[in-house]
Formats: sequence, structure tokens, C-alpha cells
Amino acid sequence: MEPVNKPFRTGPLTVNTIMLLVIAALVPGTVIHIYLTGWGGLANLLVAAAAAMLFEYIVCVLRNKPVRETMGDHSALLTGLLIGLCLPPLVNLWIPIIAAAIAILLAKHIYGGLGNNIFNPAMVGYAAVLVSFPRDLSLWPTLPQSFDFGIIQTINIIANGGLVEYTHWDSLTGATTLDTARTSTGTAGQHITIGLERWTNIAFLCGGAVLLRLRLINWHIPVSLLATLSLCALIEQAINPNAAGLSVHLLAGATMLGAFFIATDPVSAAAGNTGRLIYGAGIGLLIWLIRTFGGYPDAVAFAVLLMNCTVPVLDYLEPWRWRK
Amino acid sequence: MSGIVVVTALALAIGALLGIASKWFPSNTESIVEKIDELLPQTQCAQCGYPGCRPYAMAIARGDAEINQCPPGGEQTISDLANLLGRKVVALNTEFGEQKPPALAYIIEEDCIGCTLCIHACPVDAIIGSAKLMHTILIDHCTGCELCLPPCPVDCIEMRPSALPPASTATS
Amino acid sequence: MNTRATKSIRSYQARVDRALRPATPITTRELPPTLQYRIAPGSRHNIVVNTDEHVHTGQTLVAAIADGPASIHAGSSGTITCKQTDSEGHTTIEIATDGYDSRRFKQAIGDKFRSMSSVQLQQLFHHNGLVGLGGACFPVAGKIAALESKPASVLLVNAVECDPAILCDRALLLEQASAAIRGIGIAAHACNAQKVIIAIKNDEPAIHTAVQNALEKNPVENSSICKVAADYPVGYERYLFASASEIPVPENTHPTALGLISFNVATCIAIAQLIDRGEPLFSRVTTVHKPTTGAIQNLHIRFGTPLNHLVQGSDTTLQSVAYSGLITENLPSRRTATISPASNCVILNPEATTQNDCIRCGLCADVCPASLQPQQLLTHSEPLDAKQLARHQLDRCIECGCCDTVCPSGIPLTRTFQQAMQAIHQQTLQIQAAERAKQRFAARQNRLERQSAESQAKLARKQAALTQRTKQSTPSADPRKQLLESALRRRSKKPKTDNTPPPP
Repeated sequence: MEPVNKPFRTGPLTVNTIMLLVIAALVPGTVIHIYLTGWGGLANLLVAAAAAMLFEYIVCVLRNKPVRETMGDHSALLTGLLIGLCLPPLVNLWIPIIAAAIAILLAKHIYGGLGNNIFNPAMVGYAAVLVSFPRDLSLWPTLPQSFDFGIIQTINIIANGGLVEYTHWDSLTGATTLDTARTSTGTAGQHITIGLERWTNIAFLCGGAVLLRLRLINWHIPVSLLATLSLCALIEQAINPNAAGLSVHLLAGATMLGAFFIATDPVSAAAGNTGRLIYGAGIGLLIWLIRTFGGYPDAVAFAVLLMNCTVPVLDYLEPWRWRK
Repeated sequence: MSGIVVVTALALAIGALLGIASKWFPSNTESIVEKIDELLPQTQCAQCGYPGCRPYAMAIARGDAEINQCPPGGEQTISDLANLLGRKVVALNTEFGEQKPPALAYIIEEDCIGCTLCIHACPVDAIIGSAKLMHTILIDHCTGCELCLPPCPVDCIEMRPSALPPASTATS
Repeated sequence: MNTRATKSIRSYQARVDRALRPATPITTRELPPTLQYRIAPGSRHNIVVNTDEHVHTGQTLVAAIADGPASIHAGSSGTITCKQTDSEGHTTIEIATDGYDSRRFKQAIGDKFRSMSSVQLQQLFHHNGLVGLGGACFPVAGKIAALESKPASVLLVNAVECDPAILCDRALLLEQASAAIRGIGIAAHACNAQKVIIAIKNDEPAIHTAVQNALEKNPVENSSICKVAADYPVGYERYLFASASEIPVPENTHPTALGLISFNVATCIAIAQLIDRGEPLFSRVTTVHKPTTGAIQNLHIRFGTPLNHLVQGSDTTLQSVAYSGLITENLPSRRTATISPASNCVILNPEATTQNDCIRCGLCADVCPASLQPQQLLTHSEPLDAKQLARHQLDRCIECGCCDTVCPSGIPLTRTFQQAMQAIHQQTLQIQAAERAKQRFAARQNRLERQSAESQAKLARKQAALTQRTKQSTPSADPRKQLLESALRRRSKKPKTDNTPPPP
């Protein structure tokens, strides 16, 4: 006769519902993202999500895990969607697949599956393809690209090596806001305007607000991240008025996606409230540092991964709030 | 040329530092014995071939004894000792005995003839009694070492299972 | 603080309420063929019955020990079998019930209790098996004795079953409010309470009226009814003192040290039954849940009833059991599957839940009433890291189980913590035993050395004395030799004198 804990399951939340709610909160931002990036962006999302689910399925079979329960937590779907949201449209078809493979196989299941991974799987996948295919991933078409390309044409492009093979279409590609900001720093009289991606960011901010309202994520990480980033941006602008300003840092790139959906991934984030504040602040600072001084225009992935490294220490130090 | 000089100087400096360090911080045998003793189960059963846990600890520290001679401690003690001393984990040497479930000695009092032999055998003074009077065991102090069993001329001591496993070190 | 836990617990409470709305009668179960009492090893016990002895209901099986456990009484008349220690060292007393349930109680005391002193009442309680029926089973007499004969400033009657699955106290208050009030009066006398607070939930008007009516009929001095919020875990003693008596009990301080004492309602009723009917404590009301059939009952059961006996009808086999309701849950050992004073709620064959890995979401930390970090405690519980658990203050865990109810991964956190606490306790005992053995061994070694040194010294002294004596004896030891020598000396001198010419 075995004792059984929790004889009556009453908790309204399961891992499965949490993941589904997070995915639901991603929807508004994703819709705008698709509107701006057209069939290419949609293709990224679909390919990355499908690949992530496929690899999850394969691992479940290999690890003798119950497929329905493991797949049922929808974490692979979320990982795939996050990868798809980070990639520029019209990249080579294989890039989202490779990113998903690295995320699911290397970053997640090698460590023992959901709950045991040290690093945010989606960001590991994205960072891996970012350093492996720098040319492909720095090539953002001018937004809104919308649905200028038809489905057939999009499939043609991504199946034949992506936009990078079509560089003769110079008019198509353009620098992203952050690219401009990076190359223009210090040049007097140049004003940086934020592209249409601000709408994506605002939508992700709204989705994040919903998650906060539902108390699915804690306020500590996004608030300290955005506060630190803003502070750094303001100081920078005070020193150099031509630098990328507050609005650029907050509303360009993947800032809001990172602040509300990536940095708040509970598994790889710090667990205690003090730890969360430090963790968020660290990501904010790193985003600003890498954007301003680093070689990559956007920095969310690297900032998150670097701060993931500090989580064990932050957790270890957590009981400090009791030492009075 | 300058490279050679620099490397030689570095080597000399580090060598000197190491020399000073070994002088200033001598490896303390006493503290090592103490640490080994901490890890031993303190049954004082002498199964290891030494008259008690501390003598065994001293023997390990001197390098006379292996770390797998303690049956009551079993695998746990061996792995803790290996961890402490940076050695390989080895299996228990069964020449010294097998690991048994925890037990305490119990004197069947009506059979005891009061010979005091067991009192002298007990390593932790857990048996009380007097000549020609019945003896009894203080269960709070008994370590279950079984050293009182062989001297008893009437075999009136038996081992009974105890609720508490023998003290093995699980602190670290 | 723990709104989420409260919410989920309320939703469960609503389910229970729907099931129970018509009535929550206390029903009595027929006696089982055997009653089993397991007596743990190591503790001091004095078993006063022998195998094949016939006992009456209420007869003492195990005598009380002063400052120790209270006595244990037979739950039914029948024949005793004492089984000797099993592998874990337990002794089992079994009663084969004869079905007559013939009772032989001592003389009831009735209103004479007013002339009895607190110490006399404590003796009476202790020898009639009175222990707290709220779940902790602490002897009543021990609790009162902890006041050290100072008057209690507050006697708190805990009628707040915060755990939604436990319904026995509620049923008792509805059906036996007058007995409860009577018991409260006696308890107040026993601990010289200056103030009596009866804490009930604020969402139970029926209980409020029942208690108020009983109080009007049989008033207790300086008593008041206090309604507290029904949020779990308000019934936890420390929290209840804070919310009902507005006296905060600091950590590491036992309420009795502040003159605060609390009794569960069921305990008060047991006190009343002892005083008015002379009935020792051998039974209790237990809430029995059968999730497979959805049945919830409040059963009046004798202690020692095997849980198998409670399973009937469609679910004929008992596969698993959970204790103490939805949230607070004690770890049952396989063979102790009988009703004990602690079993205020038994869940038979509970629904199994799936369990995933911790995703570190932190919901558990949000709801923890003790402001702990359950997920950190979990990582350090397996494998056990006693140092880290102490750093994260596992000892402050009140085992309320709020973390269990919110955990999205379905991890049995409270159970893990209970196991970790047990393991740490075991380790501490082991370390203490090892330290004791080490010291005694060293002391013995010292003594043996000292003794051998002393005997050697004695030997050396004796030897020295002997050699000295033999040395001295060469010239002068033996008187006869001395005489001989002196004679010889004289003789040797004589010829000399002889040689000299005689004086003229």
C-alpha cells in the first residue's frame, strides 16, 4: 500500500495550461510580425514549430518517455515559435530546422528535458544559427515586406538557400533599426527612426501585460530588465545626444519579446525575487552593452544566455533576504 | 634570450613560493586523522584489524591500511573516505566482514551468570553489571560491534535489530 | 499572500460542500474483527496486558508514563494477542473483538471536577489516554503541564478545520456542541484559563448558532466566540493565535511559554466524556473520503481499526491511502494502516496524479505561508543536502501543503519535505550516537592506559622497594647475619690483639 500525495488535484494550473497561455499571449505580436514579414515570417514560424515538435517526438521515443504527456506540455511548440519569431524572413529553409534541432536536442533534452535545462533552449538554437550563418541572419528585408512575395515565390526562395542567394535584389534588403543605430552612432545630425517593428514590440508588451495580470510571470524580471536598459540608454544619450535613444532600445529589435517571453522562462531564470531582479538587470545591462559596443546588432539572445550562466549562483544566494 | 630569463625567473619564484607555502602550511597529520575519524561509523568493532575507529583512522593516515576495511560503514564510508583522500572507490574487502543490518546487543538476563567477561570486551563501556550479578546493556550506548559475543561463556548475548541505522557519515 | 492556494482550495471546498450539503451526520461503524495497536520501539512503554487475556472496552492496554506518552485503552472487549517486535522493533497488541463491546469504565466524576486541582486533572487525563485529536496527538496533560502551573492567559479552542477535506470537527460542533462547551469549561478549569476564545470559521453560520446556543445554556466564564477568515492554513496553531487572540507567537517560541494553550474541539468533547461518563479515549470521529465512489462520511471509529475494514462495496481492495485530508498529510507507514488519534481524515484509494519535473515557476514560493522557497528545498531534498536545507530553513516548513496544490508539475513537495526532515532527524541521531561512541571509546582507552600505567608504576615501585631491601640486607638486614658478622669482625680483630704482646 503506497501513500499517495495530493489526493485531490485542485491546482488550476498545469505545465500544459501555462505553456498554452504563454503561447496565447504571443499571438498579437505574432500576427503583427507575420503582417510585417509576410509569407517568409510565417514560413519560419511553421517550419521552426514543426521541426521542434518533430524533434521532441523523436526524443520522446528515444528516451522511452510517454509521448502524449511529454508532448502535451506544449513546451516544444513554444520553443519553435520563439525561434521562428527571432529569425529574419526568407532565410534558408534549413536554418529554422537546425535551430530547432539544437534547441530541443542539445539545449533541452541533453540536460534531462523540460525543467532541467540550464539555458533557454530557444535562445541556444537561435544563437547557434546566428553565429553559424551570420550573413543569412543579418539580412532583413525592408519592412513591411508584407505579402509582396507570393507563397510560391517564398517557397522557392527559402528552398533555394534563402534571400542570401538573391543579393542582386538590392532594393529588397535594408538595414534594421538597430543596424542603423549601430553604424550611425556618433555621426552628427543623423536621426534614427524606429521602423514598423515598434508595433510588434508594443504587441508583445501587451501580451506580456496579460501574462503579468494572470500572474503567470513575475514582474521582477521584465521590470528590472526594461528599467536597466532604459537607464543605460538615457545615460548614453545624455553623454552622446546622437546615440540610439530610449525609444530605439525599448521598441526596436526583440526587446519586448525578450523581456516578457524569453527572459521570463522560469526554467532557466533565477527562482527567488531578489535573484530575479538581479537577473533582469543583468540582461538589461548586457543588451545595452552588446548593442552599443558589440558586433551584433541585437543582443537579447546572448544577454539571456550569459545571464542563464549566473542563475545557479543567484539561486544559491537566494536566502539572503532572511539574513537580517 | 629575455624569454629564457623571464621563464627561469618565473619558475624560481613559483618554486620559492611553493617552498614557503609548504613550510608555512604543513600538512597536518593530526587533522587528517581527525577528518578520517569523523567519517568512520564509530562502532569501535575492530573488524578492520585495528582496536577501534581512531586507530584505524591513524593507520589510514599513515598509509598502513586500505579504506575498504570497515564493514559497518559499508559503501557509504568507503566513498566518503575516497572523496576525502582523493582515492578511487573500491568495493568492501569482505575479508574483514560483511555489512550487516543495524543491530544492538541484548543480554538474555535469566541466562547471564555474571562473569564480567563481556564488560571487559565492550569498547564503549555500554555493559554494566558486577561479578556474579546479572549484566545488562545500555542500549543508548551500544554500537552493535558484537565484540561481547565471543567472550560470553554461556552465549546469553544476542543481536537484535535496531531502529536506528549505525552511524555512518552522511553529514557532508 | 496565498490567494492562489486559497482560491484552489475554495474550489475544492465548494465541491465538498455540494456533496455534503444535505447533512453531515456522524455514523458509527460496526466493530472490526480485530483492533491493532502498534507500539513504536525506543519509546518507553509499559504494556499491562498479556496474550490471551480478556479485556473490556476502555481497559488500559499500555499504561501512561509521567512526562511521556498517555495511556492506550482497549477499543473493544475481546481477547489480547501481543506480538513481539517485528523487523522494525514494533510491538503489536491485537484485540480479537468478541462483539459484545462490554464496557467497564471508572466512576464518572461529574461536577466534582471543580474541586480537583490542575495536577489531579492532568493525572486523570494522562491515565485515560487523552491526547490532542487535532492531528498532532500531543498528550493533553503534557500540554497543560508545559504551562508550569501558571494560569493560562488564553485558552484557544480550535474549531477551525482549515483543511477543506476534514469535516469531523464541523460535524461534532453541529451535533455535540453542548458536550464541546462542557469540555471547554473543564479544560478552562484545568489550566486556570483567564480567557477562553472559541475560534470558528466566519463562513459557517450554523456552527456559530450551535455554539452560541450551547454557551447560553452552559456558560463558560470569560469566553468569547471569535470568527476567523476561512482561508487555509489559518487553523495552524501559531497562525490561529495571531488571528484569533491577536497575540503573535514568535518563531522558535512555543505558545505555552507565553501562557497560550489551545485545544481542538474533539479533544474538548473527549474531556467532557471522560469527566461525565468516565470514558477513556479509545475512539474518534474521522472523515472518510472514498474518491472512487465520491462518498464522504464522518465515521465514529475505534482506534486500531484497520483501514481495510473501512473499504466496502465497489472498491473492495485498499491500494493506497492518504491521511489528513486534502492538504496536510502525514506519511503513513505501510503497516500502520489503522485509525489512530491523529487520523482526522482518511482518503481511501485517492486519485493518482501524474508528476513532471519542476519547471521552477515559483508558484510554490508565492503561496508559501512561511515565506520559504519550496523549489529550492526540493532541489536540495533529492539528493539530500542537509546543510543547504538548513540554510533554506526547512525547519520552518509547517507542512501545510499549499505548495502541493499549486504546483503545475504535480510534485509531491510536502511529502518530499517530510521525508527529508525524517532523514535529517535520523542523520542527527546517527551523528550524536557516533559522537557518543567516540567519546566513550576515547574515555575507555584513556582509562585503560591510566590503569595499566598505574599498575606498572605500582609494579615498578614494588620492585624498587624489593631491590633496595636486598641491597641493604647484604650488610645489615638479617640480625643473625649481623651477629655473625660482628662476631667475625671481632674474631678478625682478636688475633691482632693476640699478636700484640700482653700488657705487662
